[in-house]
Amino acid sequence: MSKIPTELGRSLGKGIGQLCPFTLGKNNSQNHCAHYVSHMMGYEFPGPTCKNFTWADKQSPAKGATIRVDDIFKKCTKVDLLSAKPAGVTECLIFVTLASNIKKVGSSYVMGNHPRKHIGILNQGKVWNYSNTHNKVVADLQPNFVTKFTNAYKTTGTTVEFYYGALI
Amino acid sequence: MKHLTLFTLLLVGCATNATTDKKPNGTQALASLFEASERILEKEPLCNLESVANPSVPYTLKDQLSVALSPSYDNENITNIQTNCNPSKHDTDNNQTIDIWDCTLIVNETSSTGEFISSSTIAFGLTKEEFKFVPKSLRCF
Repeated sequence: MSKIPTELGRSLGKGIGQLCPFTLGKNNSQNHCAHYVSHMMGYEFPGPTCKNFTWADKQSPAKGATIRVDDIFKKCTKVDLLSAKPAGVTECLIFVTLASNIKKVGSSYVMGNHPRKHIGILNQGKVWNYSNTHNKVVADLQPNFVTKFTNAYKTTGTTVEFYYGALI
Repeated sequence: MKHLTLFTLLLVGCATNATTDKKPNGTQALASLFEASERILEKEPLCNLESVANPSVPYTLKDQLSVALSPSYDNENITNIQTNCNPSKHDTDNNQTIDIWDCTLIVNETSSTGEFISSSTIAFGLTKEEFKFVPKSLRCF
């Protein structure tokens, strides 16, 4: 049974302000990739959320959403390199960051706090993610997503890595 | 008439109070943030981060500031820094709600063509009068 919410399709082209009722949703200069994914998937993990970011927002009864990519990454029970993703896995989270921002502890991966990181939701060959450049939700074909973020994040001496994580 | 006078005085009083809430300027806000740079982030529930690339125990606000500002180093991209402070409140550990200045430092990295690359946000509270860092007010993402 699919864990992808029906709202995902309706989010295409929307700005974060149309998806988040809190103050953070009104600020377009922030990175909203994890924020978008969390609103779609209902993730509200310990740590900073759009709801606990200001005192006034904390008083609202509305549900908040996790805003850090690494907070979602560490909640995934199954994470591996995207290149190791079985073909049968067609719905999952997709993470991208620098190789230097990931360490392996035993058989688990740990993501650090380097700002170059992004997250999307893979569904039917497309990665649904928040474009902070255009301030709207986009759905990139998976190969295009990989090319886009490899080009955006790569600098001399760095390696850009992609991971998949089972939906939580 | 008596009521009108009383109302007017009340209104003037409120307006006067609002204008005496002196806002920190940029130098004061950033100086208070840097003064707190040795703050151990394990003590900050909404900024409890760790670096994978440069593990430092204990991980401090100084470490996080270094990571947030690092995109500006030897990079052809453009790094933009925005700071501001707005009046807000903070819940203390002893169940009190205090008035604070809620300040934000945002570091945005964009390509030379304007494409968003990355951003880091460090939000922090300052006391209303002395602009001192408020413990457990840090929020980072």
